[in-house]
Amino acid sequence: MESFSFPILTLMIFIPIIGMLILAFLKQSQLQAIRTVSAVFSGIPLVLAVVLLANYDPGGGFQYIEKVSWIPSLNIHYFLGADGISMPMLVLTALLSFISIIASFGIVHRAKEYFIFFLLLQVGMMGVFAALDFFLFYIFWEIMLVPMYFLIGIWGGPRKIYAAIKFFLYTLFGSIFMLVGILVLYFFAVDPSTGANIYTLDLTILAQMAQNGDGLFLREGLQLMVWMFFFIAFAIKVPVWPFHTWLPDAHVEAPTAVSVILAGVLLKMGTYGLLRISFPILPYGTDYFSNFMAVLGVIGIIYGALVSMAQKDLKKLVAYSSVSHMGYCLLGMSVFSHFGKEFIVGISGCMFQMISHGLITGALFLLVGVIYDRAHTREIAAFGGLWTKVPVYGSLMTFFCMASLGLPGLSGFISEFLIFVGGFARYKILTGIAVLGVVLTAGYFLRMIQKVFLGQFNIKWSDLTEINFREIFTVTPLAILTLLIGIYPRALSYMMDDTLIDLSNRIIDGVNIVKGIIG
Amino acid sequence: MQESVKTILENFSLNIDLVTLMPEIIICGMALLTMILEPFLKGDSRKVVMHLTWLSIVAALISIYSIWTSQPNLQSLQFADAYRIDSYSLLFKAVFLIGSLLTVFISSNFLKFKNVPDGEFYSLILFATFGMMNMASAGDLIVLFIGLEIMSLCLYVLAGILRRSVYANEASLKYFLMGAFASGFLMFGIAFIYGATGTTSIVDVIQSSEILSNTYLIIGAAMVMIGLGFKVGAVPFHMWIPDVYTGSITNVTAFMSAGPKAAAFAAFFQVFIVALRPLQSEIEVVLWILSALTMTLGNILAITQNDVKRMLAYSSISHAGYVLIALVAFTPAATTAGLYYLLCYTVMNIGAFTVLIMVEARENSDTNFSSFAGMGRRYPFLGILLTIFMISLAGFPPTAGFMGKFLVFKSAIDTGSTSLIVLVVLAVVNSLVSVYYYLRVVVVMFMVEPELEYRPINFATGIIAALVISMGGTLLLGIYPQIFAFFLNTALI
Amino acid sequence: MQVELIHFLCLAAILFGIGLYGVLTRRNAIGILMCVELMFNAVNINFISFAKFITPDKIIGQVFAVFVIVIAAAEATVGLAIVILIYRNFKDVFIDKMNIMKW
Repeated sequence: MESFSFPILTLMIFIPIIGMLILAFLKQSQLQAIRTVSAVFSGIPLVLAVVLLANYDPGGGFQYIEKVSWIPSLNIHYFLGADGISMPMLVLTALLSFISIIASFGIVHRAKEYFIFFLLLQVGMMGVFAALDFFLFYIFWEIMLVPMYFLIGIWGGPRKIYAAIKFFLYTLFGSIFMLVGILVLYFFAVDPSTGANIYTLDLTILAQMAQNGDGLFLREGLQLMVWMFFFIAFAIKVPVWPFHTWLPDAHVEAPTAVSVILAGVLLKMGTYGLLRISFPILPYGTDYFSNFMAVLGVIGIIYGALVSMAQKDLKKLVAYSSVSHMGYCLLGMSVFSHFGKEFIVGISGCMFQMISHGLITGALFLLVGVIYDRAHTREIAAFGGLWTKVPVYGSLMTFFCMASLGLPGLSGFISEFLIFVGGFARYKILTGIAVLGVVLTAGYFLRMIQKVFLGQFNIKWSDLTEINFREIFTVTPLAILTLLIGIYPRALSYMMDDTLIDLSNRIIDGVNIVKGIIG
Repeated sequence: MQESVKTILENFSLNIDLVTLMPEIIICGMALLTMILEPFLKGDSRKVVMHLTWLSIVAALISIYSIWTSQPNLQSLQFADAYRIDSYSLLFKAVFLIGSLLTVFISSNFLKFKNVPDGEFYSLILFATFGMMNMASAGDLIVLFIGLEIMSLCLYVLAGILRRSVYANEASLKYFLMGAFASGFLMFGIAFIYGATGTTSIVDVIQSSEILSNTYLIIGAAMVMIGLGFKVGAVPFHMWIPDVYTGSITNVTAFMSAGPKAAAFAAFFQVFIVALRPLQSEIEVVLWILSALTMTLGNILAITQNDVKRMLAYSSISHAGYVLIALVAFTPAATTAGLYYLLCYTVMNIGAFTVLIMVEARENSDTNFSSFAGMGRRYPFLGILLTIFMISLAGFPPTAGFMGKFLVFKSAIDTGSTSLIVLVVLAVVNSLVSVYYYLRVVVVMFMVEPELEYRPINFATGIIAALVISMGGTLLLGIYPQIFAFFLNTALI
Repeated sequence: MQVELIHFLCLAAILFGIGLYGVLTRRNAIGILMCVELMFNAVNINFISFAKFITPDKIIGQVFAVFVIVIAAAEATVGLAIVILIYRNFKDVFIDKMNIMKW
């Protein structure tokens, strides 16, 4: 199955490397050139992603496949491809990376290294979403850690080194479990036709085996153990309560653009990993632990919202709201198949939530960065009555807060609605509690808007300047997409519906086979 | 008695094939030549010795390559079965030679900086390399032991080559006493293995069907394990490593951590996997404990160090623990994985030491963490290189360290035994712990501001060559292991 | 009483034990060196006695013993050279003085 079509995915992933090389030869003082080069080489993948999206065939399974033998003696391939789950993520990643690069133009301190690390980060992220060989996936997953570590550790806030190490060790702790899980999968992969060990890490073959119930996928206990290994790895990334404690530290210390990437893309890798790996490859485990996932999700929703309410720092507030919003994802995916194969509301809500949270929270972090750059504080109590002074900024902030709390007509509403519809069918009480989360979300966002923008104007900020053109330029695409998905959700769902239906078919088949065997 | 000696001599077939012995001949010949040549050279012409040394090592590598390509499945027993040349020993020799080559490259300028007479240095390196090659090719315990002693005697002298430094004196003496002590155990063990089987030939030991006394064999195996345990630095026989590595001049430390360690493992593989196969189950248990202790203790002690050189010394202990996993697994695939790991460790560790030497070779400098503060800003390229070496040592993809660990862990899990899976999990947790202290170097380099202006680093040609080779190796071994496919497909007989 | 293999082995073991004990407890570097030599010679007795009792028709044991003697001489040379170097720098050969680095 060697394929030699034009390697557009490879190009998309690795083009930033060329930008890194060019940057390496620029001088630290050539700021303008550094910015242009990094914007261009981050922009090309975005263009390519849009091209891929335009040519995407929703019913076509994996597309743009590139498969080249990489380490033949271990049967490991360089295998890339995109389907309805990864396609939106690729576009989102390319978009947010480009926007973050633009938003980082303010970075002057060691700018060259900053952009080099940022482009490397982009390579890692795109690679994770395009990889279809588990080994390749793992390598991209780890590559991404290193630039992230530097970006937080060098350009972060006061406690940057602590935050960087904490982020690194947490994620690494997870990846180590993933590595052990990968090795187990590798040794239990069995050729469906002959029954012989074939030692593969090809995600499509592994998923096929799971559907047919071959090899490892027969062993109930083993499957549950491996599922748990992967879950720990992905849950740390999401982050699922109680693995979330690295997130506030990393977010608060990270520079604005890095926070955007953290919230917009890195957190999605956790949920993406669950959808791409745990769900199709370990269906029985997924089914077995779905209640567990739902409970953790709801705890995350409520806990994140409650902690958000208590925050005095704008960025921390947005950071904890991420914990809460990613909880919805988990709740949505845990109800994948309650009504049978065609009913995919929950899981599709989860996908919607991944995209819309990426757009909205990314924008919120950008906006928090805007005010921090001017006021050098993020203390909510320090502001007041800013609306009169910065009306454009205020309306943008309000728009995204409304989107985040689920105002109908914006993307947050669609995702939460789908998740609740799906969730209510299976977990009535849990979903009921989760709906409370929406009320709490509205509470802390409205309180924040009121304290920052309304009320008595704080004279201290009388020379505060309005949001500038570059900053508006960075949030506008996010606002447009939020609105588009909110009004016309089909724009997103047409891509993923077929893939998600296929995914839930796989899970149901896999679960039935294992259940049929163990009785 | 007279009669029997005569029969032995009559049946004695030397069976020498000079072509396959070429690497040894080149190295040993050049070692003698440089020793003779050195006193006659004055001033700048002394550089000839250095050039001859690295050229001879390259020549030996080329001859290994040509033997490999011309006789792919070579199995040759020479000198009356006392010397074994096969793909496995050739690969081990290649690993030693790469370690020695990198050492020669990094030494030239550093020796001048430290005012060390460099003539005997190079012949000692070559003799040590020759000793290691004998160990890897030993078909008889006598040869193995003599190779070990040739190597060790050179290393004792090399450790103390910085004659005026009390640290080097102490390192040399400690190394010598510990080494001689370990040799005593090793020989005592060999004597008992001989007593149990009536032979010292490695292949015959395994084949001797009438093992005369199992007790003798077990005593022998235990003693040999203690002796070789000292040489590889396995806990609890590791106490000499930190002091010897710290006290020795840094390029010798780099040398000791690569080749000799690999050679000791070559001996380990020969004795325990080939010769003492009958004792497999007992040996596995002991090695399991050794491996677990070695990696854990090495890691824990490495965390507390404030000197990068000493930290690397402790980390080398824990890396020995990872290689021991391959021994516990006791399969041909595992030994190959162990060999691959040793190659990866050689390039990445000497790479890290190269940067360390560059930092040390400045006025008023030492190897403390503080010497690295601000280096990443003053020399970003060098900083990134050291970062890659460090993440490779920590076992991070896509570097050599990751691929080595992956192969070792894979071969261990492949055996399917629960105790090995537990060991792998322990090793994985240990690599997580190790990230902390490896990253500390990176943190200091990039994120801590230096007290003063960072003092300039001298880029010498040899150093750059070593950096290029070790970096190339680290990346290539990690990203595209397939070009080393011959590695992955060979196995110990 | 006939002198058997086991008697030789016991002698060697005792000799080895004395050497081991000396290495671990002696403070004088030359003393330690001598104890190491004692261990080497215990090995020689082992080899010769095994050669005599186990393989009377082969000479491997004797050959090995000769090698051990040679190597012991080489070790002693290097060892004494190191001790002389130590004496020059420390004016002493007691190893408890040599603990600049933590052990």
